[in-house]
Amino acid sequence: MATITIDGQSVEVADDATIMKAAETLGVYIPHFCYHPGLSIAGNCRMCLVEVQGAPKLLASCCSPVRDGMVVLTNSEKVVKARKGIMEFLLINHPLDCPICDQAGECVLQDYSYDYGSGHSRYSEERQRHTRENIGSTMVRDMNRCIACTRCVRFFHEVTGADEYNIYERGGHTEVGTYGEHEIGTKFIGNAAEICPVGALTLRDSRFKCRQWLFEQADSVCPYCANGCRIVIDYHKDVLHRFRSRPDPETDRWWICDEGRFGFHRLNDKQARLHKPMIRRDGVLVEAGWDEAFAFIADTLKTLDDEVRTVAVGSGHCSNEDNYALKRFANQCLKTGTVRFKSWPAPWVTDTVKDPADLFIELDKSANARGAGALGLEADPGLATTWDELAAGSVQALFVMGADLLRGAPNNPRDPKLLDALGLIVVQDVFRGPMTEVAHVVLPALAFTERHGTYTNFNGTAQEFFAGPYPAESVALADWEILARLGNYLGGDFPWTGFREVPWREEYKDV
Amino acid sequence: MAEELILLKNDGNPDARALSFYKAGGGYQALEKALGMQPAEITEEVKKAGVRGRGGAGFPAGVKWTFVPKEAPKPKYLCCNADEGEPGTFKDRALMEWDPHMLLEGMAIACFAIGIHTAYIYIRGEFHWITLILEQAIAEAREANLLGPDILGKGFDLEIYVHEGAGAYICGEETALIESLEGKRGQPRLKPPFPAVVGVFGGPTVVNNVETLCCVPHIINRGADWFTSIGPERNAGPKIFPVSGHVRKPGNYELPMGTPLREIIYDVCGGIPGDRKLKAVIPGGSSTPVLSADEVDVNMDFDSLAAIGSMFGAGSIIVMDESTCMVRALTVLTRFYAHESCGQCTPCREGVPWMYDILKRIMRGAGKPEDADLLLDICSNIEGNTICPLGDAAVGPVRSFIQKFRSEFDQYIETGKSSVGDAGFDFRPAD
Amino acid sequence: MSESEQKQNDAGWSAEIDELISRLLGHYPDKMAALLPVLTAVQREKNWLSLATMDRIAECLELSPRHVYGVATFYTMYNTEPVGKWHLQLCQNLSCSLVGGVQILAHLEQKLGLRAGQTTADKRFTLTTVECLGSCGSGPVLQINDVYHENLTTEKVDEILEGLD
Repeated sequence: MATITIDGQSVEVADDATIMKAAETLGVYIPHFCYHPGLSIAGNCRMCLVEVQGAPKLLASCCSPVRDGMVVLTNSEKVVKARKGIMEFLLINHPLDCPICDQAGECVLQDYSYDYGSGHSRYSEERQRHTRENIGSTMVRDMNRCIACTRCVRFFHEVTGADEYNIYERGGHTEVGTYGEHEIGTKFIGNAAEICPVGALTLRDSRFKCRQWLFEQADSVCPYCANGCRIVIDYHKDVLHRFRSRPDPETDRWWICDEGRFGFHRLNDKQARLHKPMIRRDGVLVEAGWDEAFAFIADTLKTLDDEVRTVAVGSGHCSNEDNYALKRFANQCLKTGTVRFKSWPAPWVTDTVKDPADLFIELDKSANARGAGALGLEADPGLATTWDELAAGSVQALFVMGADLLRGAPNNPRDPKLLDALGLIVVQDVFRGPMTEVAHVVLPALAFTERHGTYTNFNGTAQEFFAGPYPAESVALADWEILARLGNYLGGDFPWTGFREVPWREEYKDV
Repeated sequence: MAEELILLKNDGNPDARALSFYKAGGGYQALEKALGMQPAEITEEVKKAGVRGRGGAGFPAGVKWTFVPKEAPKPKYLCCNADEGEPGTFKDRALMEWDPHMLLEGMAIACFAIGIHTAYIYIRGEFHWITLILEQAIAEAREANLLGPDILGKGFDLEIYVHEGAGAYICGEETALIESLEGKRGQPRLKPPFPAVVGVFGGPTVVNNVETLCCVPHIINRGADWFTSIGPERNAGPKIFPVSGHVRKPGNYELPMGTPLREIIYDVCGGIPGDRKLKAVIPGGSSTPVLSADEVDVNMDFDSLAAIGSMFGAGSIIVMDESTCMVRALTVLTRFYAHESCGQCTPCREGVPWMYDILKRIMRGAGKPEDADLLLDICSNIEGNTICPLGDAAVGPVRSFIQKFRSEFDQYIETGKSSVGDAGFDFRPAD
Repeated sequence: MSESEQKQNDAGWSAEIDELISRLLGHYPDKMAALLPVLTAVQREKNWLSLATMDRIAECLELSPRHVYGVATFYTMYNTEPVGKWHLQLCQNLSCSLVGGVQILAHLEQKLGLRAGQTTADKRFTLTTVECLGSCGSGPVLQINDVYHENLTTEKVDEILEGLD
């Protein structure tokens, strides 16, 4: 261990720690561009220079190891002068196009220029000019804004192993990119734009859509595979603008895949969403109020035979609160012994070995299959058992939450006609889909971005996610909340007012 | 002037390249002697001789060798730095071209002392004909069991390979050289780790200049005391001074360290053509701060030049007479550093081309009164803040030219043209 | 010839290069280290380094093509565009300039009818200005392909050019 003093505060750190890391433990922020905790150290931006007593020159704190007894100044006159110099250098060839740059508002170059920039430019020469280039189908590279910190190059090489991206030329002509061809063979391109400290790499789908400072944020968990990457949702009003990664202290990881990153688009599609409860009257779904829908369900349940067997289908896409609520609802209100969920892999899936290039993308595309299993829902791979029962005629009613029964084997879609014989089909979902077409009652659920909840990822970590925007002109509720209200309506005991009151942990047995 | 030439005695003699010629003059006796010594003894002798790196940094070679850990998980390497690229420098080229075996012998002794079995000569690619000479010499030495396995039956194995660079001044910086040797872009590494611990291919690596290594056989043959008897204390040994520019007899001159600069210009090199007046001298290669005419009474060694605020560098002397426009001269030099910046770190990548652009603008007649001070301030923002010494190297001439010839700069800026007229050299902005 | 065959052909090289590559691989613990010498040798044979050529080098040394492009564009000796049969590289650094390097440039430009950086229409000559060639004591220096011509005067330049086919 080494004891060092930074701006008058003493701290004990490991011998191999850098000055930057030591400063972090003290909460002392040292400005930087190229340093990124998830990448190798490049030491090239020189913004993190600090003064070390006894050293003949300033040291880059990101790559200088501590020494016992070291005395560091992060804000001395010399340091500030150097930072101002670096800022001036970075800005001389920069287009200063903040008003039309998507990075504006979250650009460190812009931020630092308030602290270390000059109100006027001493640069009266010609600026470098580069043409814009597409990187893959999702990213745009604007070399004019690039500060050559090489975060993107290091990301592609070190994290994804994608070698279609590199640095070319030298000196003032340095360029990053794909050199001609534009494709990059990785499913993680968006991270490069996310870690670009300036506006050199931006994502096509968020370019020119919304100013960053208008965004509100919610901490969430990506539901598009069982890995459960931590994400931040950026939204404005009720429109989702961006998913980005939220560093994970457990796995020390900063990255999310493109499928997850761009997964917000489908949630913005109002046409595809369910907004109001609906009841099928004369073969047509008609919008209704919640109480109306609940009354319809209650009435229909009463008309069904006492011996009726209802199958409740939960989902690996729904949260622990939702699946717990479904199980409790089924027990208290449905006279059913079976609460299942569609588990992975389905019997017809043969490709169950992960491609190493997929890194942390799991083959199981459900966010919470492990949680559903831990709550005692019966795993039904591909819902094959449920369909066997439907075919055998041993099911009379279905209560389906967030599951698509009709999507089966690729070459063997399920026959919706088998559902015609059922006395009641309640479908609770976020989206319109084949299931709503066969439902007697449709209950609109909130998407994961619009509510709180908990998912258990593939390795058993239960992670909470929090609500972003509530969809305008919608009356949808979180799945557990729908079940609680309906359950109470039907005489059950669902006394919860918030998601943390749902006592799912009581029945949670993860193995 | 030294009576006996040590390093340049065969300069210009094509016959001297042959192994037989080299051996006839006592060549490879030092290697034989060294192979009978303890490796630590050799290092100690070289340390005692105090031979300071002839590439420009002036770090004592023997001390550098001791930084290599005895036991290392990966093989150790010697890289001979033959990238000779500092404008004004053309000495290593002569050593390799006319006396290749002297270098090979020096390398073999160094490798034995450090425990190295693979060495590379990293030579600038433009010197292709010298590569062929070196490869021929290596083949001859191998044939004679002076290189290769079990050298002279003493159980020491060594292979030396010549590796050509491809046009990058920065590869003369030792970590950039290592990167380049590994087949990468020649961008300097962050230190630590230092090459002596983690160098080429991950192994401990010593990088020594050609001239430095050429001193080694002589130190072993004649002893450290002989070596230190040449030149002043802490600056010992024979030295090649490449002299160019406005002198009657430009070329390489081997002289003791510490020879007065005035003597070199006026006696050794025959003075200035047309007996024009001396204006300025760059004493150690283009990056070393320029001296004005009244500063040439300085001894050419590391400490004497440092004492007057310049640097010895590689001892490469560029002489400029009164016909030289200092604004033009500086623009040419700054163009070089802008062209050679590797682009890795901010101050050098952005700052040096900026200085070049300002100088170009001044030369076009569009200079502004604040430009000279602006250049000096840019210098202070580059200096000391870069990963490698190239930033400082670019600052060396800019700051010294402006400080010492300020009135010429101010006059150029004010009038839009050179006060020296067209008598000097023309300049055309390129790139 | 199909496009891919053409590409293959464009990227081809002599058996000597293959031999050189296998010899070079013995010099280093790592294939990547052979990259610079291989680029140099292939360029010497083929005049310049096309993308197809660089791709083939990448394949031979088990490197990514982008690594090869990154390296090839870093070093000034690599031509990523074709050059004339005779590549004239004239030093314009300080020592050469002090002794007439710029006059030699003007003379060459006039003689060849081009500006530095250009190639003659008959593709025989490319004239490039370069930084220090390490011939400061014997300037002005002009490198033509692999050969240095030193202590130049305009007369000497004329003589040299006449000797080139």
